[in-house]
Amino acid sequence: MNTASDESSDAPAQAQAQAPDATRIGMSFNVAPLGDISGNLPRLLGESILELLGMFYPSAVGKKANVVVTELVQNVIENIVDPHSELHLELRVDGDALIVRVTNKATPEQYEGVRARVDALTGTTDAKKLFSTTLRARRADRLKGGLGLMRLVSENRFRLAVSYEGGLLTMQAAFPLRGSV
Amino acid sequence: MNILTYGEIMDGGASVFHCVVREDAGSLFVTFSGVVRVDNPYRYLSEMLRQLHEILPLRPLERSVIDFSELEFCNSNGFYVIMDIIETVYGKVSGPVLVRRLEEDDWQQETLPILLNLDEASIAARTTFEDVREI
Repeated sequence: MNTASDESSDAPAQAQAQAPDATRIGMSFNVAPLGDISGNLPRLLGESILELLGMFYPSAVGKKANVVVTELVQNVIENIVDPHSELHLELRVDGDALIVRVTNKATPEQYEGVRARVDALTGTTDAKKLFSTTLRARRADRLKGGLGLMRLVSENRFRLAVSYEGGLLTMQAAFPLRGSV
Repeated sequence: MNILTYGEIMDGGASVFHCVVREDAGSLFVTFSGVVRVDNPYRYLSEMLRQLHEILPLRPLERSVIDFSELEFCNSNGFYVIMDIIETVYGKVSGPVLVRRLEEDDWQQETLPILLNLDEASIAARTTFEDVREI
């Protein structure tokens, strides 16, 4: 795990735009092959990031990072298409926003499924209602999964975006911090 | 205070979550503590759920307290089992339900009311919240 309290690229421009007293943290994590994972990686990453951000930010920021990293990494691990492939996690936080990106190998069908969920979440005016309705419908059928992304929007107010290029799916979750830290 | 049943989740060889169900003078106390982070919590809690269904109708209970204030984290894989426990309490014990939850926790403030199904008028009418500050 690489951690840094600053980012080298575009640093001067970013520094001017950021709140003067907000610590800038950037980190990335890679693991491959995914088939080698045998323990609870979402827990390990989520709790480590919670502790790291707690050093610099109010606990609410660390808690949000914990939730988003846990859910996104859990999604990857529960939907591995190629045990030889890689998971890539990026986290950046500064006075403006908390941004987490998770990239992994995915099929076009998986991407379409995720994109449909993200579109539904970004297109709704009542994410809580959508979450509640989906939760009860999926529970009735005992369907696993599908709730993590919804909770990120409904509960934690993240803005989600998904992209797909060269067989790699990237899920981005962003939470604005401007004025709150 | 009489312990009626108890559930525990193990993760990585450590005990990480407890649900303790007790009774005292006509009150039921359900306390959640620790973290729910495993991919299948039913593997650990299904026996406790089965016992809850059996035991609660036999006890002279008039009110319930469900305490989440020591629950530090719950992943989305834990939502159904929390709902099952809550639903069993509401279904098997009549009377008011006091829900203790953390004041500054997104899950407990935003998602917990959805899991409780407060949109249901009969459930909302029985439920009051006590918001507690995290120590």
